[in-house]
Amino acid sequence: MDGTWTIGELADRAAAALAAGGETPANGRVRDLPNERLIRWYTTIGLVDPPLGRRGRTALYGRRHLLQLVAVKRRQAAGRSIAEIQVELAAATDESLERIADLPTTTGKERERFWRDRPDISHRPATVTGYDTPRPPVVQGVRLGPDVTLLLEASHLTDDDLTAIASAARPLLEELHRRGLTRSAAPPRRSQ
Amino acid sequence: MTVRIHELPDPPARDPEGGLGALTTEKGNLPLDSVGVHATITGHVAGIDLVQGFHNPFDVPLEATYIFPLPDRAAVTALRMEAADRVVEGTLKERGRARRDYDAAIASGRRAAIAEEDRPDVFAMRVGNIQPGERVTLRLRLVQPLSRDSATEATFRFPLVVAPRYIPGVPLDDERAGPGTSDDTDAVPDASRISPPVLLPGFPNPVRLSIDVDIDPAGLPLTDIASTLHVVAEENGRVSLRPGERLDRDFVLRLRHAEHESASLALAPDETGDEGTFTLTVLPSGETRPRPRDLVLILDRSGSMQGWKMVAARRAAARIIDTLRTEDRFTVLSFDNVIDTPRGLDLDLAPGTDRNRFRAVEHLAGLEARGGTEMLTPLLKAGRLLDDPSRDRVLVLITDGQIGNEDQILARLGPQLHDVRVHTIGIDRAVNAGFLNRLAALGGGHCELVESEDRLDAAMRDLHHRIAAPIATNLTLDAELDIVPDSVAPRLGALFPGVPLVVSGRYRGRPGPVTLNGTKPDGTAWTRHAPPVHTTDRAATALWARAHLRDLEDRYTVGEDLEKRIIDTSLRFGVLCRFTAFVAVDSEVTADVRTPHRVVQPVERPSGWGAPAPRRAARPLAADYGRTDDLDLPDFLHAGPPRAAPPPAPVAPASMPAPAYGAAPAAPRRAAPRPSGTTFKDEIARALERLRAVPDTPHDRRAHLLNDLLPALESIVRRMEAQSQDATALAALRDDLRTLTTTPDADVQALWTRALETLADHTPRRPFWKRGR
Repeated sequence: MDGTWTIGELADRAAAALAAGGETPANGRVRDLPNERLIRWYTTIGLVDPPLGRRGRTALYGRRHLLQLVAVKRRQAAGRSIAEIQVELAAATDESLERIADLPTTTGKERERFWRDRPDISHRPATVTGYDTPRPPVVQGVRLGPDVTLLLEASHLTDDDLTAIASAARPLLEELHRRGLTRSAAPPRRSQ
Repeated sequence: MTVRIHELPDPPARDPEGGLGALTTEKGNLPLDSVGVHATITGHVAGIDLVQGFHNPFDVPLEATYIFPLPDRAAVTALRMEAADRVVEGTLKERGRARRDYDAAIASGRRAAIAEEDRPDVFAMRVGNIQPGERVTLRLRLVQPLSRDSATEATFRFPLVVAPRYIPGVPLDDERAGPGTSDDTDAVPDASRISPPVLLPGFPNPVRLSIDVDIDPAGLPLTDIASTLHVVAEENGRVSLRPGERLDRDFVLRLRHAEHESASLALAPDETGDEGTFTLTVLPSGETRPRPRDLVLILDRSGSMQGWKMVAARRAAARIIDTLRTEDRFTVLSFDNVIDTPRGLDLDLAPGTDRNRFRAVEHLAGLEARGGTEMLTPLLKAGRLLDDPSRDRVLVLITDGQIGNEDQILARLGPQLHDVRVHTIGIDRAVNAGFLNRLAALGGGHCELVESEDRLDAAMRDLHHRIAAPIATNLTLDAELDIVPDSVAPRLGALFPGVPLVVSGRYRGRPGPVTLNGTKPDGTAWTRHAPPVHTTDRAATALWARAHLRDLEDRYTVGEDLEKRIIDTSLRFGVLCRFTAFVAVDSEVTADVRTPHRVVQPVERPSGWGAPAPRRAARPLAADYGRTDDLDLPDFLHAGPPRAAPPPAPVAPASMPAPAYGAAPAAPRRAAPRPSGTTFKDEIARALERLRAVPDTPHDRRAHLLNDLLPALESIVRRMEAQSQDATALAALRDDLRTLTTTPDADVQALWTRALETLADHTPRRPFWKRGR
């Protein structure tokens, strides 16, 4: 638990903590899962503190950041708007963040006292299903937009591939959008 | 006396999200609960008490940080902390010492407060160990000169919010200098000190703002007042703010008065000693016949110019282009991350013919706000275009000035601007006046601040005169008064029609008259004579000290070694500057010795900012906007959270490169990696540590310098030079240490101090308020 994380690790930990809580967001929006861009935005509006420091070019985050992020998400899941959350959580103390974030006790401390765990002694005979039946072929998908997905039979995609696909897909997405074939807005524009 | 009050036009209607029905305004979490401004205007000087009230709504001790603006020419002369019936007066100290005193007080559980300057108009107040439920009041005492807009008009401007600023550069790997939201970068090494978090639209307003201004009509018969915020006039020349206003723009009070004499010299002798402060005011009048000139017009079209600001900027630019004649040459550079020019005007300066002026205006009409504020490149380009010394060379910059790299720009531009006159037109309701005034002063020009389209109309009437040919240049003071050398501030620039010139300085001995001499455009002499008048004005010395310190600070930025002189001047005259700080420490121990809960006060979004950009139909993007994300409009200006992770997002758990707002996206474009200096820095830091641990006797120190530091330096300098890194200062120190071996009676103490300073300069912990190299 102690120690510092990169922004990506912070986002992963927050996602894990939220998943462990077993709550599904009231509004069901998957894109509300914490990501790096969202964390930076939260910083500019005072919901998440600036990073603790840097290791080289990498910004480092700690436990208070995790509490802040999870607390924001918990409130959002309860249907609060971000403006209401700012009123409540900007400048909140660690104690109140702990209360709201209510991190699962295992987060980051998985099985600290493993010697107290007892094995599962319920015994069931092994069941074998689908043995010998051919497994369905697996294809990969790349999400181009919220409702546009590209299916590929390639077995492995590198970051390079993904970047190339992203830029090649831009004209297609624009065309789809022009024709009203996709509900989503065109890919994000960076021209303003 | 009757005074009419005009309310300057309202900003656009409040954001529809304003007012959260669901929540009643409980006592919020934010520590700042009130701001009071009490000003008394006498003549052209305002004395101001700024009162900041903090409270602690938490159940643990609190340290609050408030990043706030002050008028850029105001002299801060006192700080007082009041808590629980205790009153503590602040002391002005060298900044490093003040910060250590503050930290020590907090660590030992005592209440303390510190006020520091990070820009001429951006300050930070920290107040620590506020007990649960307690209120602490901080009072700052200021004097501020009104800005003299014309012979009959003066402006009292008090800023209320530090607007978000564009931060260029590559993130530094040092410790953060402050608690703000931006990362420190090589171009803005203290970005984290000038970037408070920003409240969302409609935040229930917990900060009570009160402003009242007493106007003493004795010195200045008033005829008219206009204000940007809703004010009510009361009797006896008092103007007060209607309750319920937000801290989201500059408070501007314009006073119109009857015309004065054309030149005056006020002498304010010190209470002790034979020195004093003089203030010379000259109101130049008359027209001049313009000479052919070269003009570069630079227009900021970055994202923060969105809305009325862009409209006003286009109008101002078009008006200036209208005044050009065929014998003039000009061009227009409009910039965000890239520079655009009108077609046909892109290679060099073009004659001001009808056709070229039309092209320029056509170009202006097509401009929309977008992108970042990379301001240095167009300014340097303008410097290169204006290279013909035989012509009158003029640079006009139209911008909101919302950038963080002021020092970088002034340091780079200063040496380039020989005899180029720089005028700035600042357009915003919370303008970066500090930067625009500094830039105009550097270029001997005029700075005009515009907070509404109506104000633009008024300013435009005179603007083209002011940025036309000056009435007189090469100004010098010729005095029977014994003026202390190098004490005149601000530096003498040029006289423009209708723009009052106010300079001050120090004198010794007996009073005498002063003559201001200059050269008219036709080469003949221009003179104005001012006989002395005695005053007992105590504010004059503080105002002079502030102007002088700002001059010295600008010269420091450009590279002069003035740190000691700046600190001495600041302490002698008791005026806060970048190298000093006011610190107040209570003697009572009130808190357990533990780290207090730290909160940075978030601030309002500036008024008139951030109508979200209309979503336009998709259109192929220019290459420069490809995958970078150089918005200088932070996302909070949009109503909701930022766009989700940019599609296409892969299904597989692989992350697309996610560019960030602010500093990070600049990195790919200036790909030059930081030199691998970290290891040298570490070595030097270790050498410094060893040096500091040596006992304070000449013998020990001498031995250490020779046996430890010298070999270490020999090695470090050799390797740094091999990697062609700049090791000049270290090499100089090494050479001096070598001479120590041959001169047994050398001054060990001086060398010791130098070694400490030189090494400290080369370690990562160089104080952020000192110049980078």
